[in-house]
Amino acid sequence: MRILVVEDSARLRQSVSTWLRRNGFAVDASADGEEGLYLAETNDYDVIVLDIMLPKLDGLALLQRLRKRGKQTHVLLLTAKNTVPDRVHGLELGADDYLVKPFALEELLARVKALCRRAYGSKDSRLVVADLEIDTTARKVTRAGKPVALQAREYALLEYLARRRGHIVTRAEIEEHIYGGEVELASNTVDSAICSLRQKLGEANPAPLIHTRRGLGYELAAE
Amino acid sequence: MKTIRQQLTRKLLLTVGLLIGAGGLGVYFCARTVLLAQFDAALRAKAQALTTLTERKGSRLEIEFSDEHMRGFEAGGRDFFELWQADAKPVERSRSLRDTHLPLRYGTMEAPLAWSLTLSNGQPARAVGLKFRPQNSDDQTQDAAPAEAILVVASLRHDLDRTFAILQLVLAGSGLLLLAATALVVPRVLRRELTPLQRLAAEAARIDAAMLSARFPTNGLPGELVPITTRLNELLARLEDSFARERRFTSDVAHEFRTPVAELRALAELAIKLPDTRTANTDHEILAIALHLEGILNHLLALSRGERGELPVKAERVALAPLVKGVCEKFQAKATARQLVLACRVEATAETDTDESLLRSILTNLVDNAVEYAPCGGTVQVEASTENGGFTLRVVNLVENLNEHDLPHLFERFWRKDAARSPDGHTGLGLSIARVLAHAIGCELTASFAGPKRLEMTLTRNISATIVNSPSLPSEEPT
Repeated sequence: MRILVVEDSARLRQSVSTWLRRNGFAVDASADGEEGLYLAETNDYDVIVLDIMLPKLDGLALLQRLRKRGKQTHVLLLTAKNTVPDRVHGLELGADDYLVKPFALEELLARVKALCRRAYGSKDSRLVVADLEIDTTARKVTRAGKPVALQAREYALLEYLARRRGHIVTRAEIEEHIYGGEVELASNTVDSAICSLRQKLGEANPAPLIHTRRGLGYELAAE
Repeated sequence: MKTIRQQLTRKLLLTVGLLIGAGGLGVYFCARTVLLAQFDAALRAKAQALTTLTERKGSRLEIEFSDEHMRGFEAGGRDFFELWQADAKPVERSRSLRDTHLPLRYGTMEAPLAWSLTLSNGQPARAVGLKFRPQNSDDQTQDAAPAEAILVVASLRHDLDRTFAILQLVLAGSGLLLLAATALVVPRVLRRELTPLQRLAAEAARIDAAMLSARFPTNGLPGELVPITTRLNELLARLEDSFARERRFTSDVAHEFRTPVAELRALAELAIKLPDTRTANTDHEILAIALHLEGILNHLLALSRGERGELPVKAERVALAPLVKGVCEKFQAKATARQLVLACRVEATAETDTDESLLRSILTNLVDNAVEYAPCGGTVQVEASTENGGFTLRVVNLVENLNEHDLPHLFERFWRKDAARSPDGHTGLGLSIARVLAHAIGCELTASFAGPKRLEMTLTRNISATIVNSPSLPSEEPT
């Protein structure tokens, strides 16, 4: 999942980005509204975490411009403004959720995950593909009833493939959503991650779940 | 609860009642006097007639009285008379008196005595008594008989008393009717005429803290209510402004605290949940946040103390040149780094009586703001001069994003042109504190444009100004 964090406080921006990355999200971060709008328009994010009081272009104006240009990326407003009119105004301008500072990192994570689920049209926190079951709240994976231990990045890749089940996911999409923002990405990074994932899932049940569609990409599906 | 309408109704009814009562009594007593006078005149006429019928014949008095001509005096009649000699010896009386006598009271022929009496049979009557000189019969000498006689004539006053009773009844009835009509009409008239006041009260009752934008309508109001309504509207406008300012201040305080607290919480949570992310820099960041929060608190406390005038001010002779130059030198390095020219111009001998520490704090704030916000490559002018015992300090610099509309907000707490709080260590309280300090040392701190984009901050003190007890700055924090 790829997240954009637009926050002018450097400390907060860094803490939130680190927290989300360590929970398996690919995170881009921006310190002002103009850069945030550029990033939001030129990339395909799953969720944007957006502060309201930003230099150059405030968060609400950013949101308004984004919606006017047809971008429907889910937006979580993160702000110190907590009056009812502030919240109503933000939601009316097209925000999907509102979180008032100070906040618990766990709550931020839960809301970001909820918005990610909405991004893929699912309200259920459990993803099931054949005998594979992913609990996106607990971030636990089981196959054929056996737990599968995954690293954060592997988990993010599996969850992304599971959310796109039934569809072929291109290598570029994986790079963007799972490794977004990483400048020096080796050419075989995605292949290595897929290979590692297949191996760990195969230990629980050797029946293949991740299929390579030559020239197109990968698909998570029961054969 | 007493209402104006109830009080007016009550007082109007009381007043009208008293007026009706007084008027009725007046009318009654006037009519009574007139009727009595007429009654007495009739009695006097009868007495006059009887005196003409009275003759002195020798030593006797005789009255040529005939019932046929004066029927009222006959037995069972309503009129009475009795005649006495001057020595009170009865001479004659009317048959209507039967066995009774009239009281012997009298006046002169010109001014007969009139009075009310009750006859011995219990009937009320009115009488006239007079002493007169009867005519002599032709064959008598003038001085052979008693010289004078006394005549009392009375009439029953049943008809007169009935007239009085009718008059009383009519007047009382009319008065009560008038009072009842007044009681009916007055409340309605008052209700109608006091409608604008009731409407005003209803409007006022609807207004609460959330409706301060409401205003009382002034069209169609009676003249007496227009100034009240106008003043109320002005008061509402001031309240609305004050509430908006307080809301903005509260919101600003919340924002100023929420962001650093959020930073603190995120850093702490991250360090607990992901210990490997904690570095030595994390502790420095936490300390910096704590110091920032402490700075905001200290400034808020300083403002609060300043506005209450709680901190002492020490006036002394202050040489302006070393003070101004000292402050400029402090910011020289910062100005150089931003390629600014810090031009300091002050009379070498300029002196004034003020609190040096507070004046230094104000100037530090102004110069720091100028050096911080002036565009790179510009000039910051700091000038000081004295005149007539007072002094003027000016800090002039170019500004890029301020306009005339921003000037009134410059001294508001937490106000910043850019809504986003840049991490420059400023709290947005410096100029508010500077103005409070300026007031404490009897100065006026104002902001104006000396030219296009040339912001001029001026601190002036006239000789007539007095230093008031006020705060000192906890630290020299510019806006």
